[in-house]
Order: sequence, then structure tokens, then C-alpha cells
Amino acid sequence: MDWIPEVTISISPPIEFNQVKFSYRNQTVLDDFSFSFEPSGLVAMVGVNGSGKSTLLKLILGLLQPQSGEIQVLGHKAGSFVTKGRIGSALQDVDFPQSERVEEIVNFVCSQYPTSLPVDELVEHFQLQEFRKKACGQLSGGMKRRVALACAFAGRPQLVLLDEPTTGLDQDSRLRLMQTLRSYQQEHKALILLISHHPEEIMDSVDGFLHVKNRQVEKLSTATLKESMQLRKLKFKLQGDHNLPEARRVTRNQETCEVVTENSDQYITSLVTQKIPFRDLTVDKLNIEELLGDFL
Amino acid sequence: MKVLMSHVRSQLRIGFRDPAYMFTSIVLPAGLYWFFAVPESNSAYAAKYMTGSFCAFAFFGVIFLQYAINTAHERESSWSQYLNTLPIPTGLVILSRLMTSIVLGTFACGLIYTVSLVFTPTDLDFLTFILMLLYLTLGGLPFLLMGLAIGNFFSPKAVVPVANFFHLVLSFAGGLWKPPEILPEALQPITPWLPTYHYGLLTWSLASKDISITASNILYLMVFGAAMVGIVTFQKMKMGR
Repeated sequence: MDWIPEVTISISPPIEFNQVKFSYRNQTVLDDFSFSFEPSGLVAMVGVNGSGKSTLLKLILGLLQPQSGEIQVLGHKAGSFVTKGRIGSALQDVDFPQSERVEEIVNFVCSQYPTSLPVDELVEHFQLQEFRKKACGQLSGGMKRRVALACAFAGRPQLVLLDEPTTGLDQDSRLRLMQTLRSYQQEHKALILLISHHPEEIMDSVDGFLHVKNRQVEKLSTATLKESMQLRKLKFKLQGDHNLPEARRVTRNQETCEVVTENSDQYITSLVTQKIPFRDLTVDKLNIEELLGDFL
Repeated sequence: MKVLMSHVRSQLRIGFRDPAYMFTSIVLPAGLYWFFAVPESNSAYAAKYMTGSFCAFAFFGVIFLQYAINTAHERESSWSQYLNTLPIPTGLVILSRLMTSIVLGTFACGLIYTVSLVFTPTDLDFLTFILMLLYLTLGGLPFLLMGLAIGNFFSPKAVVPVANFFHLVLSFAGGLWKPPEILPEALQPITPWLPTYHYGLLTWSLASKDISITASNILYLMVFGAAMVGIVTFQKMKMGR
């Protein structure tokens, strides 16, 4: 059957930034930025505070316009009508109309899409049953976030953008949410992009990370992140001139020394064998901001 | 259509569940009508005339005042930002707002009409009343846009006094509270230049055969409407940047 033309389904990247420049009044967030995202998966975006993660989401949604360059989302310009119909999003702290009930809000959002998921299904997946009849003005922060998440999936989106969906959730709810995201992602071959301030909490649930740093985005594997979490920070006091052993980072400010190293036991052993008279030694894990800012 | 109706339903639910909103937009105009206009309505003509005036005042309130206030309050809310991410066609929100105003305006005018039937010697029949609602809807379009323009321009704090000022001053000076002939003399030369005068005239034409809508009334409202379209479009372009 040679006459049948070969059908090739080209999977173009769902999001493509092309030489994008974006700045707020006095702060440049992106400059000549080009990047394309994986066609599908469950990906977390990480970065220190103020690195521009939320700005990236808003640019993809078309809520912000780049000063130059272009952003293509699902084959169309970001913010175009077609694109909006295929994206779902939950940004931080949505203030729903106070007097509207939860199911009215979900129903309203579903009505905006030609083919939405059934309201009952959304209510079930995001555990809105107990408060589906409540007015939005009476909801706690956690409840509101669940409503916002349900709304994000209302239109069977191919691309889902979530700003810190796991903040404030206990471990059980977090795992359940990540499972819900994963099963949706697999069923719809979607790309789910979420911002996280605690990558260590969701490491085992995501396919990988995007690290926003210095106006660039880099792919970051879970393995690299895990490895970096082995880093330890040693702090001690020291008097007099001594040559400290090498490590990932060694800083000294008068008496106070700070050392970041992969192997803290080995480092302490070498301090002892070199007879360096340290005192007040403490060993800590690095917090995530330090890791992302300086070591990844 | 499904999308449009979902917006109208949502706006109506929010409105009907807000007692202050219901009071100011539906009960208050009828109360003012009862208080100020009923005692003056000593003939069928006067009764019909004042019913028309106060219905125009009530419709103006619903279509302009509440929309201006809502627009300013919702502009910076995270909910309206969220709405911007949904596939809602341009113009649909304005259209839904118009339909909501028609429903609320019908309630407000219906209450005034009921009061007039009970307490005045009016002979305004139901079909003429419906025709009046139609006039108020069509003539109200420029005021809807004016509400949008003022809502876009002023901060949530400033919009309440500003919009109320426009609502009250334009209603009074346009002759919607007292007929233009008995307004203070200093005001009388200005009245025919106010959009509310031409709006009121649409209803007064139904009260007497001696008053008729002229081409200049319609032209005035159309020019006023076009000016509002211009302002709103300009604002949209500025916001887009």
C-alpha cells in the first residue's frame, strides 16, 4: 500500500521561547532568552526567590507581554484564544467571588470550555466533597487552593501551569496530589509544569526539574539534585594562620570559618590529622535556597 | 451561548446574594420614587412622566453605577486575572453585563411600576411599560460603556464617590428627578446637553403624545455612545501595553 502517504506526527514543543526579553520597570528578568520545553511530563520549576519563576508562568499564560521576541504555546502565540482553551492554570491565592459556592465556581469554569471534565469528577479528584456547597468566602487557604487546582483541570488542558500547588499541604495530601497530577499527565499525555519551593518534597514524583537562574533556564535531573543534597556545611572557629583543606567552598571571616563539602566526615578527619585547632564545630544540611543559589 | 449564560447566571447570583447591592439598585429607586414622585403625580400624565423619569434613573444606576464600581474592584483582583487565562471571547463579558443589567433593571423598574399602579392615577399599560424597558436598554448602552470607562480609570477607593457623583448629578441635572422645566434656572440651559436628558426623553415620549423622540435625541445618544467606545478602546490599548 505504497500510495498511502506516510503520516508523521510531528511533536513540536508545547512551549517555545524565542529571543525573549522581559523586564519589569527596573529589573530585567529575561534577556535574549530562548528555550523549548519537553513535549510532555511532570516537571517542577525551581529557583531562588525572585528568580522569575512566576513571571515565566505569566508570560506563558499571556498575562504578561514580552518587550521583544516571541513565545509560542501549543503552536500559537501565547495568550491567544486557541491557546487559552488548551491551558489550565492555578496561580497563587486566587480570590474567588465571596458569595459563590465552590461547586458554582467549578461549574462556571467548566462552562468556559467546549469539552470540560464533569464537575463531579473534579470534585472527587481534588477532594472538594465536604465543602462543595460552601461559599468561597468561608474557605481556608488550603481549601481555596484545592478549588483552584480543580479549576486548572476543568478544560482537559494539554498544558497545566501550577504555582506552588504543594505549599501548606501535609505529606499525605501532597503525595495524593502528586499521584493525581501523574495520572492526569499520563492519561492526557500532557505537560504539567509546577513551581516548587521544596523540590526535596516532590523529587520522587516528578520527571525532572527546570532551574531558573541568572535569567536562564537549565534542566536539572533528580539525580543531580539528590547528589547536591549530600552537601554539608561545616562551621567552626579558628585562631591563627592555618591552611584549611580544600572543599567545594571555603570561606573565612576572621575567626569564623565556613566549609561546604560533599563528605563532612572525611573533612573533619583531615582537620584533626592536620592538627588544626578548631572549636565550636557544627555540621548542617544546606537549605534549598543556598543549594539553588550557589551550588546548582 | 452556554458561556454567555454562565456569566449572566454568575453575576445575577452574586448580585442577588448581596443585600446592600439589592437595596441600592432595586429597593432604593422605588423608595425614592414613592417619596418624591408619588406626591407630585396628580394626573395620569404626571404619573406616567415621573414613572418614566425614575425608571430611567433606576436603569441608569444598574447599567452604569454598579458596573463602574464592579469594574474598578475587579480590575486588580486575582480572580479577574484568572478569568483572563480562560478562553472567553472578547466582548462577551460586556454582553453578559448588559444582560445582567436588563434583568436587574427590569426588577428595579418593575417595582417602580408596581408602586405607581398602586399609589398614582397612572394609566401606563403593561405593553407600554415593556416598550419603555426596551428603550431604556437600547438607550442605556452608552451608559454601560461609560461605567466601564470610569471603572477602568479610577481606583477601587475613588470609584464609589466618583461614580455616585456622576449618577446623582447627571440624574438631577438631566431632569430625571424633577422635570427639566422646574429645575433651577441656572441649570436649565445645560440640561439639554446632558446624556441623561435624552435618556429620560425616551421614556417621556411614552407618557404624552406631545413629546416625541427626534432624530437629534437619537443622534446625541449615538455620538455619546461612540465617544464612550472611543475612550474604552483607547483604555484597552493602553492597558495592553
